[in-house]
Amino acid sequence: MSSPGADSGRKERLRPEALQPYAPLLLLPVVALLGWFGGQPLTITLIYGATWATYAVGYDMFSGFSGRVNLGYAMFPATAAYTSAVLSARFGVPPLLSVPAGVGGAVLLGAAVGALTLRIKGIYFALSTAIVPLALFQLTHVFGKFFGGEEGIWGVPPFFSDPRLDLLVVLAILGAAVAFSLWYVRSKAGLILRGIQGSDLTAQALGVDTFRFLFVSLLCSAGIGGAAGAYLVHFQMLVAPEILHIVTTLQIITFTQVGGPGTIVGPAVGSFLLVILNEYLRAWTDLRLFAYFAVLVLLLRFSPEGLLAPAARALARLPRRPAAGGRQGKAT
Amino acid sequence: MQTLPTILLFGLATSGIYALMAVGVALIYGVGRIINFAHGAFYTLGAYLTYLYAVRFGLGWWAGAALAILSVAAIAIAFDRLLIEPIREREVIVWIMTFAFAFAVRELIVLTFGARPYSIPAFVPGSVSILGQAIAAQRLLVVAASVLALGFLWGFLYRTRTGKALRAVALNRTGAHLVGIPVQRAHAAVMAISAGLAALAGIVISPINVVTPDMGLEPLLMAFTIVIFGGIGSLKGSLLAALIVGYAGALVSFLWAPELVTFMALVVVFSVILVRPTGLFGLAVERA
Repeated sequence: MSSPGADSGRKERLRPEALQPYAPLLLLPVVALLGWFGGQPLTITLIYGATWATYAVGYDMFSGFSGRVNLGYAMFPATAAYTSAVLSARFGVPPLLSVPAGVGGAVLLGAAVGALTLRIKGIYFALSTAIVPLALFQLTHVFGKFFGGEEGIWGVPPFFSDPRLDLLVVLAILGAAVAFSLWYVRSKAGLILRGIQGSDLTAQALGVDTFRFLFVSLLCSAGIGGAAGAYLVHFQMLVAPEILHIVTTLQIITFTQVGGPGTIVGPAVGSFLLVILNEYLRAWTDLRLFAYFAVLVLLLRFSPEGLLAPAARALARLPRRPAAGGRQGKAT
Repeated sequence: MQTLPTILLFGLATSGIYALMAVGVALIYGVGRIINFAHGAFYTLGAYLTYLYAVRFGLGWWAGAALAILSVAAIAIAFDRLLIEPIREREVIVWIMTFAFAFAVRELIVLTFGARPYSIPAFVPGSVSILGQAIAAQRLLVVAASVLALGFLWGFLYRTRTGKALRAVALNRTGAHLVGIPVQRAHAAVMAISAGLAALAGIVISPINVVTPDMGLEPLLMAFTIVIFGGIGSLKGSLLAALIVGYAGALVSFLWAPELVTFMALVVVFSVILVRPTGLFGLAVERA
């Protein structure tokens, strides 16, 4: 695929401005230092933060740019998690091999789902993707002996005994995901994806094979979510079927929405902020979930573009998104 | 022993509930251009508010039910006006909004009533013998209520001026606006009517099932199945699909297991979307 910067070719990549979009990656060492010296509870919170941030980046690089809402995104982390858990806990495959296998599983699922659903769009795409994790959830129960049913799979071997090392790995995964996604969405392929969001008929009329671009983008999105999901099972040492619940995907969409969809960095930062907020709300127990959804409702109502979107977009030099939902025309 | 009349009547009651839900989802989509994932919340709210009014306020079940339907309709108007209207043109954000609202309502219910199930006594106790089979009278009430409510809805939509205006908005919003139909009020009206129907469904079924914070999930899923099966935006398609899915569901749960009904629904939706996204009676996909 093409290089970043549409009119590439020359040494432009070496100029310092060309690196500006990647500047937010400098936050990662800061997070790593905080987690390293900040005590175990903070380390663990940051591990979850980085994992959800990677999910959000994976979700955003496909849905935030193509405009196709993947309401079943949790299927990718979940498939990778279950694959890696089954291989390592049931067949004794070393985690170093089972995690890549998990990513492969997620990408394969992405290929199957993409082949079936990418020719449709709008609510039809969203609903058909939403059904996949529901069906997978049923499968984990139907084949309960193998996938552990309600209980999930326990006794997944860990990589390290010190969570601080886990934190370094998940931050590395996040960094790679952000760097790759930023490069991808700023490349020609990213431009074409945004074109497809604007009007896929126009894109097709211009001779663009829209299916191919959507397909590749969905596979990358699956791989990113898969990597974070597969690694997390080895930190948690278990996987439970709740990961396939629609709430998982909604949470990813919420983080993305708060950070600003279509900006890559925004969703990542938003995930960290919300995971940390969620941790502090834990003291409220009963009220926590209600407060959570109430905040989401208010955010959607008063800041539908996302809170961090303007900053993240300026930094990455991404154009403003076309007003979402152009499909509906301009009535009222 | 399960026999034919039982299956026929159970299927009819199930279809009635599904139809009350599906017609609302179809109307809100047709007129308001919203995919309303919060529809299950209206269903659940209907049952809980009935319990609240009837037991805690001591109004009795019938008055409690009537008041609950009105309250849900009022909540729906507020939901449409305050939360949906400002972002209506942003399709994706509206979906997430309806999801978030549904979950916020669920959590509010858990905070207020707890997660434990409630039971509501039958509005009409006893049973009726049909062809030698004892059928709970409440199940007949479900059938009667859905047939009546849907009949009134039909009369309203096709025989009154207001109904005509609503259908005009569904056909062409800009055109309706131009001839002086208050489009925003049409949105709110449709949201209120549909929410009222969902509340009615939740209320009449609650003596048969139990009242839980998640009771709306299954009918929501079935309503979407039906609307997609019947063709998004087509009321007649939704009604016919409700009958088919209701009876298929009754058969599946009698012959195999009730848990398979959801799975059946998923299979139906996925195949319809892939094979014929416009459904049985759907308009062209891009009319939407």
